[in-house]
Amino acid sequence: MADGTLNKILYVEDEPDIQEVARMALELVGGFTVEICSSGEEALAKAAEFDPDLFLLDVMMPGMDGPTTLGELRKIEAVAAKPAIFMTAKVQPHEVAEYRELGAIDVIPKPFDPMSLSANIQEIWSTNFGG
Amino acid sequence: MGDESNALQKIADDFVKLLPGRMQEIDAAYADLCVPAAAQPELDDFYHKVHNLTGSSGTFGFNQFSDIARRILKLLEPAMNGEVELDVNTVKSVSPILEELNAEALAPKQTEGWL
Repeated sequence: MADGTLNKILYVEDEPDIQEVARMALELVGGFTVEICSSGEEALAKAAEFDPDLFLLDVMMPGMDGPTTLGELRKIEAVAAKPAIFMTAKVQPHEVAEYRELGAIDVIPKPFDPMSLSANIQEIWSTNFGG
Repeated sequence: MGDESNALQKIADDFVKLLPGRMQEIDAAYADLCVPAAAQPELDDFYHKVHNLTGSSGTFGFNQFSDIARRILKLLEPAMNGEVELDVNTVKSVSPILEELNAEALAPKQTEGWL
């Protein structure tokens, strides 16, 4: 169960261009502390030590995709209850409903606007947890 | 334009500089997909390369480029989702769109005011 202020985000994204722009958007624009992982496997290895407030997961990645990664993260006791947001281009209502059923608190459409990404995430956080 | 916007535009400019190399990789992946023995691994590789470029280009405001790339994804989605077998006609139908994408990649147009 999450509460309080959103500070630390673990972002899983395989595309280097998107990693770079998202890091800038989240750190410089949003002021968050960000750990970026290039794969689901890397996220599983780093999640407990980084202890994020929030997981931000790309849906479509080669190998372990976002939903599978979230399922595996839920098996790590230290971070099992941490909220997650998916990022994807597939945001039809039935698709968003599926992601919510998988445990995501919300979905951010891709491509995203770098200048408003942090505000979008903060709004989702506030809607779900206050703060 | 603020410091953050300048930095983001710099990343977008770098994206354009690296685009020819990315397109070469996509063309090579498409060539692999066109061989008769091509199967799911070749489809996965090509699809993911186009998918990544679709997302990057859209994020950097190259909407026309992103829209063309997305048309390729749409064509291949049924095969990617396992709804249909990948067939030669579908693979062939990618070719003219890929040509269009290569042409746009030579001078991608960035949407004004993307930041």
